[in-house]
Amino acid sequence: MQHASPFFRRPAVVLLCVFLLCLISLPLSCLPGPAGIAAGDVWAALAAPLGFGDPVSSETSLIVLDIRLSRACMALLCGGALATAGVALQGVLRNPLADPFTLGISAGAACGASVMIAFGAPLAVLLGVSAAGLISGGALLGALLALGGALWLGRSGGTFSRESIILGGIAVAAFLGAVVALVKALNEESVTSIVFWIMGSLQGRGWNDLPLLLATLLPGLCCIACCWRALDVLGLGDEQAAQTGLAVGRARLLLLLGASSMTAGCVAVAGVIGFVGLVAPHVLRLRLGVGHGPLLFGAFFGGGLLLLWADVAARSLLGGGVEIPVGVVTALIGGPFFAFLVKRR
Amino acid sequence: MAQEEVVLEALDVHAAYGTHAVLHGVSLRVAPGETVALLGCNGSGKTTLLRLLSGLHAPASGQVLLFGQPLSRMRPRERAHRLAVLAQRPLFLPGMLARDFVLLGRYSRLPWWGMYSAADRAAAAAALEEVGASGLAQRPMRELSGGEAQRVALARTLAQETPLLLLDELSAALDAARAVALFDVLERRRRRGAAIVMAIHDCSLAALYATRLVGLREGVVLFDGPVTRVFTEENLAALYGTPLRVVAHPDNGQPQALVAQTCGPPADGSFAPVSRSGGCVRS
Repeated sequence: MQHASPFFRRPAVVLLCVFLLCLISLPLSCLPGPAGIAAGDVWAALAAPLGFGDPVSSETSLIVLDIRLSRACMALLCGGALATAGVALQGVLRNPLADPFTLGISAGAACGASVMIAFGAPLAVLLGVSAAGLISGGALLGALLALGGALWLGRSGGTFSRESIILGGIAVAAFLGAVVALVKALNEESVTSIVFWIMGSLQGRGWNDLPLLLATLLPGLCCIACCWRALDVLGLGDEQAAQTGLAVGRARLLLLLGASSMTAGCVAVAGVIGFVGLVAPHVLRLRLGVGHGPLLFGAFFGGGLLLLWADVAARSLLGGGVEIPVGVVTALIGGPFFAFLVKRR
Repeated sequence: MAQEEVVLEALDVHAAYGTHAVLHGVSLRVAPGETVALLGCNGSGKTTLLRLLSGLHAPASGQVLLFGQPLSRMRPRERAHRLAVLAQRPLFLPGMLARDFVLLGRYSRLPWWGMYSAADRAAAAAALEEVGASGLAQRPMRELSGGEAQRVALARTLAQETPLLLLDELSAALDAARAVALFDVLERRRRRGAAIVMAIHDCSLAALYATRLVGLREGVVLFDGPVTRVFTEENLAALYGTPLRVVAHPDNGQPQALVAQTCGPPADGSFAPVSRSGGCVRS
């Protein structure tokens, strides 16, 4: 019973479409913005570094390249990282409802960032770094500590079982959530900033944040790329995966560390952006099937695409330079989708 | 049968789940070209012994040697080159195509970048062909019946191309015709030199296909030997705890077991009166 699948349903074609959409979306997403730059000037500003078209004013160039394009690139990378981490975690934990924050990373990052927002000002002066840099650092540290805690709790008998990892993540998240609430109670003037940070936003993010993001994203991608076939094999269950020749414990640890490293970087840069790691993999799975090779590739670009346009919506829906946190936009899309997913299961 | 050559050897292995001891000093040698059937009641330790032999469960004492090397010290990849296992209830990703599922059997031979070679694809296609499931290649696993899934799972095990196969209740989900077809596949593999160890409930089927029978009762080997020597009424009665009759197969003379006395209707076709308790008194 061999079905000749329609052209636009073939995985390779779907992947190519997602990739091309990403390429097209990058310049397109630079069009809207509060500065009111005409479309022609935006194109000219984008084309100028490539050596085409007329030169534009340095102000236009600054806004288009250093604010809008850099932010779009960050959105693309963060979305891609979150979705890829989502695919990896769903595969490793064999749980379709797992997402990049299952291991308590979001709670750890939120906790680290909250502490820095509320009490970090003297530390910033002492270390001579900007407040934003300190918050990113605190978030990264918090995320890594939470991850360490979840893995430590999830380790039993020398291996990581799926259930104990998830339970470890829940325990860590519950504890750190309480710490964030405590910080808010102790320092009331920081509540608004903490809430805004926790909702996730790419406001003010740009080329400066790229090194931090790439430093966590590239090692994470390498870990996952080395083990991508192991994700397929893990679908057989731990015992049969081992009998097929997979070193289950090592592969699982590498995949967890890879996914978590990518997530930690995103959280440090952009706060907690929920649902991208859940929505993008599941939508793509409908088209690409359950094999993890095409899925990981597609999720990187699909997740990037989703966050890119969610961010465009977040910064242009209200107008006048007022922004909605992008985490709110993704949750508004992701919440109903998640409900649909649970209902269909 | 070359006596010197041993594929798999269990030396006085003991196994326990927590404090519950399951195997008490089992020893077993398997040579190339042998089909060893493990017989025994539910809970007699057949599956545990298979888990020990496949390296999934470490023995509490004693050791398992695979081609002379301790199994416990082998890396998963080395092990998967030498032995393939078919579990009693194979798991799979429901949306995965049968062909891709069979290809997972080639995992231990993949290079680090994880792409299948033409040889891998050919081996998977040949394994599907071997179990008569070529037509299922493009079907998602979730659409397959229990028997079809079992055949595809066997294809995955065969695609591993190992000199040793460990099978746990291959025929449980299969109708008689399918079961015989798969045992024929295994018999062809055996004739090409493969060693096969299988846990099986149907002792008559075991007598037709196995070259050796091993009876396990409460974690102890009750008998171990060629079919014609150990397939006796005494051995089977001791093994299963119920009287069985052994008769010769009308076609090939192999011994076959029949249940001795049952509560079924009498041979003359008349219905036995139903007792008030619904019980059945065996004479």
